[in-house]
Amino acid sequence: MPAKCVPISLLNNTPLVFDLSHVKQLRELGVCGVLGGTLPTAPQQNVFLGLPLQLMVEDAMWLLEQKHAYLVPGRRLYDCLAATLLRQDILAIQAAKQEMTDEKTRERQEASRKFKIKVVELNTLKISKSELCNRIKQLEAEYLGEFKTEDLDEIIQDNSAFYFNNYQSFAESFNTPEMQHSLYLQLLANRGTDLVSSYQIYRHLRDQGYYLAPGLRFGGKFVAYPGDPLRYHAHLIVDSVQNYAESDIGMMSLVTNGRLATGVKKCWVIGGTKNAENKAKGEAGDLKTVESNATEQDVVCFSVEWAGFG
Amino acid sequence: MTSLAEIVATNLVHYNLWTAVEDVVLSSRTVLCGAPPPTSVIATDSSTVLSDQEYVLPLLVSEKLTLATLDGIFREIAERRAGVRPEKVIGGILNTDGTVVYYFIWDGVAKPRKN
Repeated sequence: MPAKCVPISLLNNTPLVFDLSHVKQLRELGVCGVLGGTLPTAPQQNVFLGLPLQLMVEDAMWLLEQKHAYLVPGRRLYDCLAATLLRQDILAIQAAKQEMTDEKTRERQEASRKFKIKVVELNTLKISKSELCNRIKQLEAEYLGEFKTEDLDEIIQDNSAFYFNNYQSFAESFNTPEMQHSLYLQLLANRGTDLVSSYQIYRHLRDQGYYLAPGLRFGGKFVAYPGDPLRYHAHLIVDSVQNYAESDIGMMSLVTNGRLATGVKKCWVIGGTKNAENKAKGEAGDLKTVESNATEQDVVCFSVEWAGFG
Repeated sequence: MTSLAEIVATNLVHYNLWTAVEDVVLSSRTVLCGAPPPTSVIATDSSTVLSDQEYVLPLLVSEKLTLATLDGIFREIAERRAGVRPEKVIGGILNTDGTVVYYFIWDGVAKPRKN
């Protein structure tokens, strides 16, 4: 996994992002989310909200599918694990770390010894001063490059698969297929089988370049913007039905949504997938099922607006 | 008893001043095809130019409408137009009191009107 992958914390089955740089990264990908953090001293104020950023389940699913992110259990788990460490655990960890440090120190001394020998050899050659400087720099990179940083901890941490110095390395350890699968099931846990068609519509619109946000304020599942919501008004109010052949769109819902959408200069989009039903039966929580659903041509949608007469 | 399509056709011709309204009989139901009056009468903007061949899908307010139904109607109309799906049909929804309301149903994701 590239380092650019964003960790999404899963708290109470809700996908959250706690780091500002990650929030920026997601926004560049077209995922805006909703800021939800308030101040512990003034929990009533809800005008200026900050971190964490809450994502829609569909946002998280899309980011995971596109390999832009991975799921991490909440920080609380890390804190709890740290709190349960016994004295002997800590001693064992310290011993292991000491051993690695010693080994690295030996390697560094050895490298530095070889480097010095080479430099002495260089000195015996008759070359210009600037040439000499260049050659020394080359040697330095060759022999001591790995040990440039003074902090051995940093070097060791890269090689350590056994324990976690900090939350980040702890988080990264969850980026394995098995852990991701089980966390993915948690992510989907609160949602019904409508998620399959709802996600298909989400992806269908994402593929067309729309930015999606929660749609409650206009009575839909999503609202879709043609670009960043800070620059554009929404164009679409989006809803989905679970079953292409069976689900009733509802004549009243067509009228009310169509009329509201036209009143706020938008279209109401109703969509679904032709084969969502059998896929939903194949367990909506199955990562493989949702990912293999990538058949774009199955998505069918219509846009409704008031005709302007009658 | 007057059929749903007839009531909607009457409303189109005499209330909304459409011309050349004809029945188009599809396998599952009858839709209408006709020409709306000049755009000045209708509150659409320049980006939505109504052609002189608009399809109207008569619907009862009480009936069930699925994506499959709509998809099927677009497909059947396409078969009559050399396989070209119309970019929209106009749903004409009839209430029990005789009210008919009209809604554009665009095929796929449409851009909202610019006004």
